Amino acid sequence: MPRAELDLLQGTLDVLVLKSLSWGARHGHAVATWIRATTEDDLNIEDGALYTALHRLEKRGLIEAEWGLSDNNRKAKYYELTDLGRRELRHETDRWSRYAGAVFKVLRATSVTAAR
Amino acid sequence: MAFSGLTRLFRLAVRPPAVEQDLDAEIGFHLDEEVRALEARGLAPDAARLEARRRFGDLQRTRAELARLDRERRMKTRRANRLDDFIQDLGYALRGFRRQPAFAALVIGTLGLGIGANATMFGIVDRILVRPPAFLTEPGRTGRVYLRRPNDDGGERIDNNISYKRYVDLREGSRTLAGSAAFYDDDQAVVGIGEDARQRGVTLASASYWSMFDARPLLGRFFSASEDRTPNGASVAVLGYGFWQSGFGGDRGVIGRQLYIGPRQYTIIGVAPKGFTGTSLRGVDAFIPITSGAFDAFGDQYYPRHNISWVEMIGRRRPGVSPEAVDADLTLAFQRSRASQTPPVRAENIPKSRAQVGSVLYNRGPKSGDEARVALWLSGVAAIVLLIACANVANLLLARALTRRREIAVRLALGAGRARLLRQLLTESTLLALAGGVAGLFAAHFGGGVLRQALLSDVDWSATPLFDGRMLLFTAAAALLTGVLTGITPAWHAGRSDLAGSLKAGGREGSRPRARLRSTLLVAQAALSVLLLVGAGLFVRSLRNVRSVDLGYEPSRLLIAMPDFRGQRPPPGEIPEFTRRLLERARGIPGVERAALTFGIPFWRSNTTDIYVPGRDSLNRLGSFYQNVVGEDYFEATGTRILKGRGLTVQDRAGPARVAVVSEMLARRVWPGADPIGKCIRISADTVPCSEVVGVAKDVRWGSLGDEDRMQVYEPMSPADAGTMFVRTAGDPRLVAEQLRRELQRLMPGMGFMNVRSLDSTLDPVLRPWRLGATCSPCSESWRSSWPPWGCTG
Repeated sequence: MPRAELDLLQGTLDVLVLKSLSWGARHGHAVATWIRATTEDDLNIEDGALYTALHRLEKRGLIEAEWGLSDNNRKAKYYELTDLGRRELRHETDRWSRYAGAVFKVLRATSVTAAR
Repeated sequence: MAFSGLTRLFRLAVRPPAVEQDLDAEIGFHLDEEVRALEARGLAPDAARLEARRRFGDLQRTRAELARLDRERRMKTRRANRLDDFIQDLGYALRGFRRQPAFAALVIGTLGLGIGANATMFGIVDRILVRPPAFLTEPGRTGRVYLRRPNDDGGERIDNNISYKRYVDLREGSRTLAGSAAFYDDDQAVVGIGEDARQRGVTLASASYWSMFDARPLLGRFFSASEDRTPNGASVAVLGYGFWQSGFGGDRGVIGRQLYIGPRQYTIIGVAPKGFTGTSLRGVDAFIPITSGAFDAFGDQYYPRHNISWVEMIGRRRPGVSPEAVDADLTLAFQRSRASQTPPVRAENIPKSRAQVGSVLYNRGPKSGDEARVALWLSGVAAIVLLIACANVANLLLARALTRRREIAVRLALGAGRARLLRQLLTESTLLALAGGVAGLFAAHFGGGVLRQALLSDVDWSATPLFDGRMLLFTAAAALLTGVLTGITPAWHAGRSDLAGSLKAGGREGSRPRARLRSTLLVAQAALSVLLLVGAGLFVRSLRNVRSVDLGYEPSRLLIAMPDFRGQRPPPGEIPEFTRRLLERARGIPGVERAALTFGIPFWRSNTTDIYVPGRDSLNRLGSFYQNVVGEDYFEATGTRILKGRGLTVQDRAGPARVAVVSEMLARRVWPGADPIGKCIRISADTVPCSEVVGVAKDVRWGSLGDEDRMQVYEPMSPADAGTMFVRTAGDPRLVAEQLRRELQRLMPGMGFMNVRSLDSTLDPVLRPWRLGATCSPCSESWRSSWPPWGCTG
């Protein structure tokens, strides 16, 4: 069966980006690489969309950017979660887990319980 | 935020690099890294580049989207920063004021007085020179009609008062007016009877007057064209709101009640809305049809004749017609009217007669009075006072900045931008000025009412609150401007100061450039003060000139008594006896020296006439001749000196011989170089018998203060004329006025009203603006003692 390419909602992308930054500051390329590796490329995310999400989050004050030096000594823009962003990530993770759990419960159901 | 415009100026220089530059660096880094990673996985360089681009998606669109997001973010942070800074500055300034409350109070008080004076003057100028009359529809297309025609002495005469007949001619002879109305504001009509009788403002208006305004009667209705008809209009009256409140207690059942106005009883048919005064600045107590009032005043002579000039006319242009076209159209109608009038006008004068529609505000028209000039002058004074206050406060702030020199240097050293520092100092001065503005509103509230009463007591202020939107806007603008003016000097100076020097020097004072700045401010202040003093000096001088004008009679010793019979004139046979008793009673009152009958009243009532002298043609080319009919003792009573011959006596009045006294100017012009005594003069027509000139009297100024070359002839009053009289008192006439009124009132038949006023009070409106201008200037006589350094040499 060919893998379904999920059309990601904007909000979902934001959570993924926030999550990718939860271990510390990263530049955009590192974020893209991490998400691609973690999802095993199941989610077909364009890098451009990722950057849009980064800048959108920065505007909302959930992450902060600062110029720094990359591993190979190049100037790169590093993003970091703000307190606000950390709170938002917790909240969104929670919401997503419940949502996904509920969907799974329905999809994995094996029998119909008759209404009493 | 209040300062966004200002701060932007200062921020231009330190703007961060454009967002696109950052974006290109970021995206470039990403693509390079991606290519490196792909090459590491074995892709050829070209294929790696292609794959990286593919993975990125639409580069251009993304870049544009990112740029938009970044720009919005920057704007947001800038706004937030600025608000932060502002709040910080505000707190800083407030803490400063709390530390030095006396300083803050001094500055706020100084600015408050300056701003308050300006706010008050703004209110006054706005009312008399800017704001169109309340309720007037289409003020832009409505104006007052002025007629210009050549004068007898080659000049031009401008009239806003025209005859009723002329009004009808202009109204019917023009095609460019969508509407027009005739009116006359009589501010001395006698209203009520008996003890309640008072002089009040009554407007005589054509029925079309109401269509010029967007006003609805508060009660009842306005009068209609069928009630305003020649020769005699209906006896209906519309009350002004103020009079309805004060005279009738705001009674809603007032419609149908009767009210005496002048000689006639009117039925009240309506009440005008609050604040409605027509085109008048003054309050109006009642409106009556113009044909009713005119009939009472002039009988049936007012509407067929062109030579009784009293009506004022307003007109409204048709939409789409230019003002010039209206002037041309009315001019044509005026010339046709003049060509048809009797007695005929000299033909060569007709083409030079013109009509013109001026501002509906009298004070902006061609005949604008002293009130407008004085108001503008006082506004100038107020503005200069504010400038002086600004210079003063700037100096104070500068002095204060000295003590804060080290603090400012430390802040600069800690990395506060100079622009930021400037803003902080400006915040401080603007805050002071705004507080000053609030103080100014208080000052305007308490002082403004007083000034309004003093300058323009007869103006109806009821429709114009002390504060309205325009005034608050003006005050806010004045306060902001003041804040910038007072703050900019110290701020600019602080921004330039030598950082290292200040840090090292600590609190040491008085560096050279600062001293220079302070003396510049002082010089500016002194210059403005001198300007103010010179202006005030000129003002006091003109007041003194006005006061010292020799009028040819002595207003400070004179009362005028005027009987108003209000339609119940005694039969002609009883009048001589009635006047004799009036005179006798007046002369019997202690404190009264003399009493004499007169027709004319200075600055109020006079008659022009034609005179004819054997052997001289076209005397009217010399100018206008004025006539007064007077009783015996007239010259002694008024104090008008007889220069040659004699005055008029009781015998002249009763006797068969016709005699006359002429003024010096008349004698000099009519009989240049010859002795006028014994000459023959025919008054009013060349068919009447000769009057013999028996005396020459000193010239009088009667129509205006500038009335220098008035040619006047005095005739003895015929016994049948009932009399207005001059009463000469021994001391201050005002002390005698009330007793005189009471005594004479007793002699009045029926509901007749005896009006007594001092001549000074008649002159008062003429002198008032000058008097006030001088009083409000720091150089007036009352201030003189408290003004030691310069003194006043007015």
